[in-house]
Order: sequence, then C-alpha cells, then structure tokens
Amino acid sequence: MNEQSPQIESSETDAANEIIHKQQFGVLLREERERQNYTILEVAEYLHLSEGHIKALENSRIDELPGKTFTLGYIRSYTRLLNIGDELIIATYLEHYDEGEAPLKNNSKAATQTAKYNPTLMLLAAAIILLVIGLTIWLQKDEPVEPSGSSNTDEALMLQPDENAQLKEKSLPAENKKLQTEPVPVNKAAALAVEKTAPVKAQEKQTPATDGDLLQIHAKEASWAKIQDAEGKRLFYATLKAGEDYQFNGKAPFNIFLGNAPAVQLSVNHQDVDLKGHIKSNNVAQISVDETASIQ
Amino acid sequence: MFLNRFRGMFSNDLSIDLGTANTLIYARSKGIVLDEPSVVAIRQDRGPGGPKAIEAYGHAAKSMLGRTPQNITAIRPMRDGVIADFHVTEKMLQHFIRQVHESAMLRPSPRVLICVPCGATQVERRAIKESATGAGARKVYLIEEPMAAAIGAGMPVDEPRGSMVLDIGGGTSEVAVISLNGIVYSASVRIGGDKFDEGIISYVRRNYGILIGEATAERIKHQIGSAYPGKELLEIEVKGRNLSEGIPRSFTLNSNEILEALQEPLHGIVSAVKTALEQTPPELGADVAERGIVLTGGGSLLRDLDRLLMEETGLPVIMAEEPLTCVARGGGRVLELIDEHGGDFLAVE
Repeated sequence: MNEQSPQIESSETDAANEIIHKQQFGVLLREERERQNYTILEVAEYLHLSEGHIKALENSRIDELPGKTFTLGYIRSYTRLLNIGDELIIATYLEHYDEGEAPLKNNSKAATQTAKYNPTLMLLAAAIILLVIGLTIWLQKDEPVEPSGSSNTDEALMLQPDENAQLKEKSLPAENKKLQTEPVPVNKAAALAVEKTAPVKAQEKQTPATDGDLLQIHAKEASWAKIQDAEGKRLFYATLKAGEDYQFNGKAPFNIFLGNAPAVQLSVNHQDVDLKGHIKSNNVAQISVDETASIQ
Repeated sequence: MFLNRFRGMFSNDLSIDLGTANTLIYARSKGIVLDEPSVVAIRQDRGPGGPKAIEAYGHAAKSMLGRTPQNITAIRPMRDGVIADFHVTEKMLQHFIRQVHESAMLRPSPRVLICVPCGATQVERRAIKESATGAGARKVYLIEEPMAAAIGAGMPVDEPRGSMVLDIGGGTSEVAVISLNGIVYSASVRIGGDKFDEGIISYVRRNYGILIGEATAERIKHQIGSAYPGKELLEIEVKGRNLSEGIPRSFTLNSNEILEALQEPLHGIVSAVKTALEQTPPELGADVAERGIVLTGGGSLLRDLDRLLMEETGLPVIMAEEPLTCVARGGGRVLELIDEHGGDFLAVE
C-alpha cells in the first residue's frame, strides 16, 4: 500500500506535462497498470526487475534504463503481464530512442560505408573490365576486314550480305546515302530480275563485278545449298537463310545442289533460271547452269 | 589466388548460421537472404551402391522427411550443432551460397563467417571450416555461437559489464557470459528443439501407445507447447499409428501434457543456466542479475520459456527481438567489425 502514495504524487507532478508526455511510452504503461490495479512492487516482483527500473520505464527516462535490447525486452514482458499489445508502446519508445541516438548513428554509418568499399580494388576491377571490353570490340571490328583483304580466295567469294553491308555503311556513309536517295538505272534492271534488300545494294558497289559470271540467289525459305563453279571451286556450302539474298562470282557453268529448290530463285547474269522440270519429288534439285541461264 | 579475389569482388560477404534445424544466411548490406531447413534429400537409383544425386534442398527436402520411397532419403546433415555428414553438408552449403548470388556467370567466392557451438571440438570446427572452403568460400572465419547471438541481439558486448545470453537452437543450447568482446564463461548442452520433439514423441508413445513422426511432434510443439503452466489450456488433435492395433488413430493432446513431456529437456537447460550463474565471477553475476538474461534462438519461442527461467533463477529474463535470426545477424555485424578493427571476436580453431 505504501507503494501507491508516491506513485500518485509523481503522476500529479506529471499531470501538468500530460500533453507533452502523451506520446511517451511510459505513460501508456502506467495508465494501463493503474487501470488494472497493480502496484509497482507487484509488477517488479513479477518481472524480477527492481522498482527503479519499473519507475524509469513508466517515466520514460531512457538514460536510466540499460540499453535498447534490454528495455525492449522489459517492455515486452510488461505488456504481456498487462495483456495489452506492445506495438504502439515499442514504436513510441523507438521514436524516443532514435531521437537521442541519431547523431551517433550517422557517424558510425559513415565509418562502415567507407570501410565497405576498397577504392583501389574497385578502380582496378573497373580498369580490367574496361580493358577486356575494349579488346573484344577491337578484335571484332578487325575480324571481317581480314578476309576481304585477300579478295581472290574461296572465302572472299562466299559473301555474307549482312556483315559486309554494315561495314560498308560505316566506312562510306556518304556514298551509301547517294545510293539510297537516287537509284542508279543499272541497279533498277537488276532489281527487276531479283528482289533486293538495301544491304545487297551496298554490297554490289563494294565488290565490282569481276570478269567471271554473276550468280544471284534469293531464298524464300531456308534451303540447303552447295554451289561450285566450272573450275570446281566451292562457292557456298551451307544453308541459305529464309528471305536473304546471296550473290557469287565465278566461272559458269555453275554446279548447284539445292535441298529445297521450289523456295529458291536463281538468276545468272541477271537472267532468271527456270527450275521447272528439274526439281525432284523430294524438292531436291541438282543442276548445272551456264552463263545464259539455261540448264544443261 | 588472383582469380579467387577477382571472383570475390562480385560476391557478398556472408554470415552463415549453420544450424541443426535451419540454415540462415545474412549478406552484408542486404540482410537475411536465406532461411531454409538444413535438410537434404538424396536420390539413389539402381539399389545400394548406385549413383547418388541430390534430389532437393531446404523446404522441399523437409517436406519429404519421413515420407520418402526407398530410393530417396531425406537427411539432416547436421546433428547436435556439428556436422554429421561431411559431403552432404558441403553440397548443401554450396547450393545455398549459389542461391544467394544471382549472377550465374561467375562462381561465387565470398568471405564466409560461420558460427560454431562453443562446445564443438577441434575436429568438428575443422570439419565446418573445410566444408565451407569446399563449398567455394574464399576465406572462412569461425565464431562462437553465443558471441554472435549476443551481438545480433544488440547486447553491449564491448562494455566492461557482464551480459548473459542463452541461445537455444535445434541441436544445442549455449549459455555464455560476455564482457569486453570476450567470452568469460560458456557452456553448451546438447539439448535443443530436437530434444523437445523427441520428448513429445516418447511421451505420446508411453501414454497413448501411439507413434507419431518428427514433423507431427514439431507441429504439436509450435502450436500448444509451453514451458510453464499458463492460464489457458490449449488443445490439438493429432493423428498417429496405434502401436497395438497398427492402425492410424486420431487423439487430442493438451498443453499441460506437453509441458510434462518437455520436463526433461527443459530441466537440462535450466540446470545449464544455473551452473553458468554459479561459475560466473561475482561482479559479472551482479550485472546479469541487474539487467537480466537474454534469450535467443528458435527454441526460445517455446511459450513461457522466459517465465520458467525467471521463476527458476529469480532473475529478469527477456526475449531478444527476432530470436531466430539473431545469430546470423550478429555474424554479419562481426564481419563489419573485422574490417574495422580486426578479428578479436573470432573463435580459435
């Protein structure tokens, strides 16, 4: 009973500050304890804490309590005894606690931030990565140029429209523009014979027709193809991609083997080749075409 | 060597709580990134002696425990806080470490801090270290579990004041008194959540003549288990195989029965705490008496365990915040402290 009187006294002194203290966690605990008719001594005995701790809790005197972990634990045990939810009280306590700790916390955070990243290591890593990326780009740029340098080999004849066209676009943008804006009449004739895409036009310019014959292929669908010229040079030995145009220079007659002949259009020296009658029942055609586009 | 360091730059420092029941991984600046049961399911086709392959890890494997056909075995590679199956532990760690690194390009090579029970022997510590190295870790640090738990719980371990922590894990319970970043007294008893489950299984068999599995026992413990007689009586209906009839039967258990079933393991933990208090130097003991004992670990979630310890010791006992993740978080904090001050916290191998 002797416990009750100092408590009431202290609550009276606090009454003046009630509005300011409303947000303090201790007030909530004290009000609830008084409502349930527990004395401070009873609570202290139940929680095995000293009365000083309970008073410090109820008066929200953080500096008299032993650290955040312990205080949170005390609050949890206390609210369990009172059978009330602890969220609100813990939230107000943490708010209170953070206010006092804020400047300290900022300092320690800055210290860990600097320790986390080792600047020299990061720089080194960045340099290595940049070097590797640069090297790959440089090597890739060089690669297609090399075979076109040795123009008369088999590989050079096996033209790859996409890549070469891109190269052309990069190196001679002015010329390319001209081509696209005012179509050259010679090209028009070629366009009649075989449908052409822009990259092919560029291609045509780059490799001017040599003294051999020109074989052009348009594949509507993918088809296997093997092409040899009169001297037995292998011009192409791969799958024609659907929708792509190909052209080859070599000496006629060309020896052509097509896996999906109905889907392929051929022309020699801008003259269409009529494949009718040469396609076998399994769509395969094995033909020899001379410079006048007639099948032998 | 250099390649390892290079790969390390793309790996997070990890703190791993390699527990008997659950494995938790804390990644620096990310928080807890993995929380899976320490269970692995192994498939062995073509009879004994056939090739072994890992079927599942973690949650998937745990759901298979006690429900596997002949060619699959679901095992827990950790027992009593230490490695029981070296190769499987290594595989499991490797899988978990990869799981927390999103990049598939480079094999992760993180610095890893692993917690060991303070009762672990030299051989057991070395086994944990080697399995982590085998799992791809660039550098392995070991720390004693109660130390990590105390740091994770936010206790002021660097002050010249005694702090007592009780970490109840799946396989072991560790009690320690810490002051000035060092362990003054520590003890480890091989009692933990598993022993609680075993206690429930044997109680049910003894009193009802019914056999239940580990998973059912765990469910009973989570739902109605308590360490101190409470105001309300909780009940649960469970199914198990009747030993005399051989037929599955359903029956009802209440929380007082579970309290009785848990008496033996609980007594073991309480006496470990009492011994620790006896052995603690008086100044530190006074600090503990003033501020209290902090409970961490999954086992501390057992209802009213703090009440039991309060009544038995007469000291304040408080629960840490998020007791399940304390050890892993504490390990993460230690990793930061190692970078700042060097490793005074680390366990000797």
